[in-house]
Amino acid sequence: MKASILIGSKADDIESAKIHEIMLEELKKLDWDATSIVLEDKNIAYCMGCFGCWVQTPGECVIKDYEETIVREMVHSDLIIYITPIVFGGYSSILKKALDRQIGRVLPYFTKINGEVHHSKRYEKQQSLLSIGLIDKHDIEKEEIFKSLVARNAINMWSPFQRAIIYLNGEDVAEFSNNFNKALMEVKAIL
Amino acid sequence: MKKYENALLLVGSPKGSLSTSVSLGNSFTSRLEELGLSIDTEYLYKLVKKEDGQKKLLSKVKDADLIILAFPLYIDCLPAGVIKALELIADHRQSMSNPKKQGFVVIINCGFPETQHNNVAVSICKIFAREVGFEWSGALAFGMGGVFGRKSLEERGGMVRNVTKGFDIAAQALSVGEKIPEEAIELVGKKFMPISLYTKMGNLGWNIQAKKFGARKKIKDQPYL
Repeated sequence: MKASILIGSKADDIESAKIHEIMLEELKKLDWDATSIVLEDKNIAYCMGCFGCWVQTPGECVIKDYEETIVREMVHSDLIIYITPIVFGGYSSILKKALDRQIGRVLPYFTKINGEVHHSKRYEKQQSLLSIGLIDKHDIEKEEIFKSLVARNAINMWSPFQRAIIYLNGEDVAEFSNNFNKALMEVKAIL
Repeated sequence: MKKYENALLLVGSPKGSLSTSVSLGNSFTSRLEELGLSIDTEYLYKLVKKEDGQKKLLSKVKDADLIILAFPLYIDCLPAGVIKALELIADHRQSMSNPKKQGFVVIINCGFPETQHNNVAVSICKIFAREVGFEWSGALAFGMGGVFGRKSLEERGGMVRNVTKGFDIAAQALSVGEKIPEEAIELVGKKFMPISLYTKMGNLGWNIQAKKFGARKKIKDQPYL
């Protein structure tokens, strides 16, 4: 079982580093092979919105930088994990920069999922999605938006399982660790 | 007396001056201009990448009475460059002692046919406005963005008549300092054509574009297997 972790926090974010360590421990306990990528350290350009990954070099972005390594890694994973501060209810720009470059993982063609239009699958193998949102103080509205965003992303990328877990910066890590472990068990159950 | 003297259009598409976002933003700001506001336009992807551009962005935002953010929906939310701009603005506003009250409007276009795909992005923009102390004036969001293909409302004509009407109503309201009325939001969010026709045309369009690049037969390739 292979997991890819995309870290969208600032590289010096202590809270993010702390929960990342806990996640690695839990993943190891359950025999996951995990790869972590600190996005801020990588050379990743902004998506240009050219759709070259659909119509010019299908499945591959026309920009050649570290994003290619990320997409290759994700395609071969069973589980993708995002770590991000919750920014206005959504992802950080650091994480989103990497995500915007991933539309080549699906086809341009439209299809319907539960009566709503989305893009068709490019690959047969699909990845479950766990998204860890870090927040300084509880804000129900932001947390609900974050959960909706993760759920919507999971539909668009055909994830068979999705979960958003909120971590309140500075809180006891035991609860987070427990929630994360439970989510991993649920992902494993559908593999 | 008008509440807003000027408006700043922030274009949030990486395609900049060649984008649907700018053509829609211009269609909207031209209405505000006719109603007496002065208009300034900036391209976020040009500004956020370098420090001098970031400074320019913050200075322009500080001086604007009404800020209009126009962007395409990217994977259920705002494009990364737009999030970066909002992060910069939020940090800057925190350091200001008495920032003035400014209006904030968003125009979102989405390539899927259903308007509801924009809902999360609208919520994120509302939270941003709340956090930085902007006055939320409303969101004009719609699906079927592929219909525009960088063309203006006027060039698209009758097919987008509801957007035209919605923009007229919204601009009128903003020019007297009111929020965008629900009627305008509903008009803009209406479908331009049946969903089945839009998806059929869209799928055909991808094939035509791929053919131009000699990639028609490779469109379903799985390069990373």
